[in-house]
Amino acid sequence: MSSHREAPEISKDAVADSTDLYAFVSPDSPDTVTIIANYVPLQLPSGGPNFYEFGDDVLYSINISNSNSPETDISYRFRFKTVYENPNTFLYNTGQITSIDSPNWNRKQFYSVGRYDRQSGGYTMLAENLPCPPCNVGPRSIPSYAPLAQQAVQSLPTGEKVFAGQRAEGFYVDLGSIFDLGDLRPFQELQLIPSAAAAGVNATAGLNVHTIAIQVPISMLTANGSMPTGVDDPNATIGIWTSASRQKVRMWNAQGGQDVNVGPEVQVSRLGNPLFNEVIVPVGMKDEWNSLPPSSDSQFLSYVQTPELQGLLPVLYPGVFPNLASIKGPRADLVAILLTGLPQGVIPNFQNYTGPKYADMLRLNMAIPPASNPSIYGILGGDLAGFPNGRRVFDDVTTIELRAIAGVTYPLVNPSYTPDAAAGEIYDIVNPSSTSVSQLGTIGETYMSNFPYLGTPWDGFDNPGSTPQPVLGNP
Amino acid sequence: MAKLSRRDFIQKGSIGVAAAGAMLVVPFSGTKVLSNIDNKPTSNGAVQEALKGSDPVVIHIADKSTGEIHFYFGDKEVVHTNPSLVAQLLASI
Repeated sequence: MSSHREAPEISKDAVADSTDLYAFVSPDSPDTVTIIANYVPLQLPSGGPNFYEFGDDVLYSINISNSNSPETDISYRFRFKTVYENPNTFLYNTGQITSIDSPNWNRKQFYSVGRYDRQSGGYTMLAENLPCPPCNVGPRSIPSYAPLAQQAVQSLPTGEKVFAGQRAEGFYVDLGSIFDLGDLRPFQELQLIPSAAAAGVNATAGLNVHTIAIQVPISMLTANGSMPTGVDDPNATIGIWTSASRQKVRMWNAQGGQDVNVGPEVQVSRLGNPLFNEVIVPVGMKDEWNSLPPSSDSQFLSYVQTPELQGLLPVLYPGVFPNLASIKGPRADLVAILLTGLPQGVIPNFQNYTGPKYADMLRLNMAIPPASNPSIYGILGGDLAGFPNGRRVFDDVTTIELRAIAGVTYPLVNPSYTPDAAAGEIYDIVNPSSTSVSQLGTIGETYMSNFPYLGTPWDGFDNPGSTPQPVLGNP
Repeated sequence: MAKLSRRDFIQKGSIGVAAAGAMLVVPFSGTKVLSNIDNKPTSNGAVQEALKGSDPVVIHIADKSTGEIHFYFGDKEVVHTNPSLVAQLLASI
C-alpha cells in the first residue's frame, strides 16, 4: 500500500482508497502490458462476517496517456454490483463454495468494464456481469481457493485479459517503524532516539487487498496502434494513473437504510507513482491532490524539488547525511523521476520522458523487455525494466525512493555531488544482499509468475489475527 | 479562507433540500450542465428526459446572495443562477 489511507478524507473511505498501482511489460507475454490497481487496504483475512469488496457506488478507472502529455487518452472503467443469493441470512456463505457461481456463496459481486478512447471520442462497454471471486474465508468454506479464483480471469473478445477480486498484498514496508518518527529498524542505533538495530518487519505480511488487473496488447496502448520500434520511439512510453470517483451528492439512509447517490462523478482518489501523496504532498493538500488530475500537478512542484523528507533525514540520523544536508538547490532528479520522466541521455539505453508538463504518472517504456534476472531495486539496481520504469509487483519501491531522496540520484543532474555512503546503503526490510525475487523469502511467496501476478489471498481461518502476541511498547 | 473538506462542504455553509421525484421547470439561460466523468456537454433534452424519472432530485443553494443553485439528479448537475427562485425556496421553509 504505497498510498494507503494517505490522505485524511480517503482514509475514511476504504473502498475508494487506491493503495498501489503497478504497470509492467508482462514477463510471460511480452507483447502485452499488465496494469494492476489495488484498492481497499489492510484487509485482515478474518474480516467477516461481510469481509471485503469493491464499492458498488464507486467508479474505478485505470487511466493512460499515450500522447506525451498528462491527459487521458485511454481509460478502462470498472463498476461493481453486489448481489445476494439470500438476504435473510447473516452468512457470507451458507455452505462450501466450490465454484465461482456456487449458490452457497451468498454475497457475490459482479462488474462491468468499458474502455474510453479519446482518439475515437467514444466509450465502449467491453463486458458486463463478470464475476469476482469470493474473499478467502477459510478451508471449510472454500476447500480449494486458487483454481476457483482462476475462474475469475476473463479474456475479452477485444484482446484484453481482466481480473477483479481479492489477492494477497504484494507491497512490503515496515509501516510500524517508518511512521514512528522516520525510524528504520536496521539503522535505528543511529536514529535521534536510538535503540539497538533490528531487522525490518513487513507490516503487510498476511494481509490482503482488492485488485483490478488488466493485461492489454501493447499495440492497443500506443497512439499509432503499433508496437514501439525502440526505446527512443515517442510511442514507446505511456503514463498511467488510477482514480476512483463517486457521485457528487450522497444522501445517507435516504431509502430504507440505503444511501442514495446523485449527480456527476467526482474524483476522490488517485495514484500514479508510489508514495507520492504519502510522503511528498503535505497533509493540508492531500485531499485536494486526490481530487485533481495529474495535469494539475505543477502546483505541487515545490514539494518534489525540496522534499520534506530530504530535510528530515539529516536531523533524524545526526551525522549520517552531511552531504544530503548540504544540498541547497532544487532536486531536478526527483522532478524528472516523478513528474516528467527521464529524458534520453541521462541513463544509457533508457528514457521514459512524457514531456515538460509536470504530472505524477507511472511512466512505462514499453519497448524495454522484461528482465531475465530482475533486481528488486529496479533502475537503481541496473535493471531498466523496473521502477521507475513502470513498477513491478516485487520492486522495493520504499527502499528505491528512500535512497533517491537521500541523494543517490542527485548526481544524475549534478555530477559534482557525492552521495553520502549511507544513502546507498539504507533499506527498509529486505537486506541489500538480497536483490533478486527468489531471495525475498516469505515476501516472494505473495507473487505469481502469471496473470494476475499477485498471489492467492491469505485465508481467514489460518490467519486469524495480525499479531499473535501483541506488545505494548509505551504503557 | 480555510480549505473545507469535501464532506464539510456538503454538510455546512449552504442549505440542501432533497425532493424525491420533484419536477422543476427552470429557464436554461446562463445555466451550466455537468454530466459524467468526461464532462461532455449535455443537451437540454437529455436533462429534461433525466428529470422525468422517479429518481430523487437534490437542490443545493450554493450562494444565497447571488442565487447560485445546483440541481443534482441521475448523473447530472445543473448549475443555475436565479435569485428570485432562491428567495422563493427560502421563503417556503
